[in-house]
Amino acid sequence: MKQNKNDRRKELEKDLEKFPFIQDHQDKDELYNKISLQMMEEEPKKRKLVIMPIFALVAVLFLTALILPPILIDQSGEDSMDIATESNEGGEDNSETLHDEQSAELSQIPSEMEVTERDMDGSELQSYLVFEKFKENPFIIAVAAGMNGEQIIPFAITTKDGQLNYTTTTTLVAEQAEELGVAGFPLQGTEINRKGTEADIIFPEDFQMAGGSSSDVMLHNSIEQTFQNSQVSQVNLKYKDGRPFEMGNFGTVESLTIASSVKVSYKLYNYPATESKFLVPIKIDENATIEEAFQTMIDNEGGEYIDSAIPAGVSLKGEEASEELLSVTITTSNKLEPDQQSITMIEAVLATAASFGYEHVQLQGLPFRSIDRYDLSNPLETPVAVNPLLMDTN
Amino acid sequence: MRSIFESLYEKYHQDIFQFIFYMVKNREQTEDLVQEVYIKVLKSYDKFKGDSSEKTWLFSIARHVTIDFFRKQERKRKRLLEFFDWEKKGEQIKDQQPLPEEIAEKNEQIQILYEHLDKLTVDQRSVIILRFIQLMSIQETADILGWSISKVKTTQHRGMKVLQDLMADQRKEGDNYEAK
Repeated sequence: MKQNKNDRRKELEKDLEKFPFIQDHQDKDELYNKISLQMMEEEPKKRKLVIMPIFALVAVLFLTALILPPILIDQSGEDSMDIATESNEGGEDNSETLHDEQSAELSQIPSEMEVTERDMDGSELQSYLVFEKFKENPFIIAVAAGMNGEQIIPFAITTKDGQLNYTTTTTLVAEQAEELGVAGFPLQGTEINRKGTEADIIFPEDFQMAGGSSSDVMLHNSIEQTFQNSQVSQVNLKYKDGRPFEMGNFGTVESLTIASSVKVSYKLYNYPATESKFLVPIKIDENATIEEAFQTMIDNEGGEYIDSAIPAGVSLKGEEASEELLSVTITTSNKLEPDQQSITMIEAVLATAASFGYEHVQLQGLPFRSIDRYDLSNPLETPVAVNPLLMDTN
Repeated sequence: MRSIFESLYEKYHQDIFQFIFYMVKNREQTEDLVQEVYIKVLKSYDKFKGDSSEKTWLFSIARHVTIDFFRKQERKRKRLLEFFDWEKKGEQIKDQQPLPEEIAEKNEQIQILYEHLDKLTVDQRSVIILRFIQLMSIQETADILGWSISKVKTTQHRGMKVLQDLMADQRKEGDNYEAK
């Protein structure tokens, strides 16, 4: 019997050894070009952005639209709660579907749009995250360029009625760039159509980019960020009239590959003129460990208007409990309270862990057992998107 | 950078491609992941200290890239499962790839075994591919995975046991079918 088992094992080994050699048919030079293009695109991201492709749009066309940052706030306190809930809890990653629906038109064109800044009343903490379990409202990802011209800020935009069209939505949101405290939305005015793992971005014929490589890199990073959590692996670029897209210094770029994973450390974008605060992903080395990611979160670098989301004196230690669960021990020289500062830190940690592929994070070392919606005695879910905005067209 | 790429390509490209291919079983995805491997390698080549062999280092990065890919896929799959209705779910879950040409040319036994690789855990699959398809030694496999030799042996044993049981079940089904 044992002999029989051993024979079977040997036979199995021999069969495995007979597996055919799988050859890559890609051309070596072509492969090298793709790799070097990707590496070039990543390198100059620290340069200043000079101009963003913002098109003049006629503001009078829009009637009653409100864009509300996460925790925010309509006319009445009760509404405000609802909005906050929907914004945070309704923002499941339905971008797949929305991307499929992007040719649809809005049934009603709002003719005015204004942004109400978040109104912290002291009793409610602001959340920056969107979780997959909240799927009441679909959302689209619209990416803004920070005023520092270096970082991009992704927003998960949702509406009460779930009617979202990429072109219209980004156009409406871009109108409010100043109020949001961002420089603009690099993909404003474009049309996006998805086909399985590929997407087409169709640029208006008069789409203009600022000169300089920083603008090119910003546009590339915006595209990458827009599709980061979708299933899209390739994005094809062209103008509406069918011409291939000219990406500044990169020349003609017909398609871009979207990396299946990008590790980032989340920090806080803090533009003082509007007091806007949003989580901003800082791309880190692809070989970085979670410890290195935490260190990047803690340090004070990152550029103008970028702050650490981690309070001074706090250190973070991460340990992989399983492939899906990260255990994070927080130690601090100052006492932490269950306040906005702490929830911002917790959410930045969750978002950073998500970029490493973790689905849950168990936090340890905090001197309170719960904060806002988070029960710290259990592992916390990592988010699917950050910076929810609710567009209310009523 | 070009010379480093050329050197790595000549020495390891096809092996790395094959390893990732047997892990993810999709040629296009493999091409993308191989690109990611090169980018990581080229960006950190000057930090490579030579503590391990170049080959071990490269395979280790390839494995991490592949695991990151699986994690992302898993997250996406879960999101889709929650979002899509059941009718669409079937299409989303059923991401079975057609047999690659190279496997389709082999006998049925090999084809079945190829399908069964999916039933292994990622760790078991890594070990089985490295040991029996890439024909690496236990020591090399341990170095790539960053494991002890005994962990490689245990994981290999468990993986082979899974495959053996699956093949045995397959044989039984075949016998029953013939008996009818």
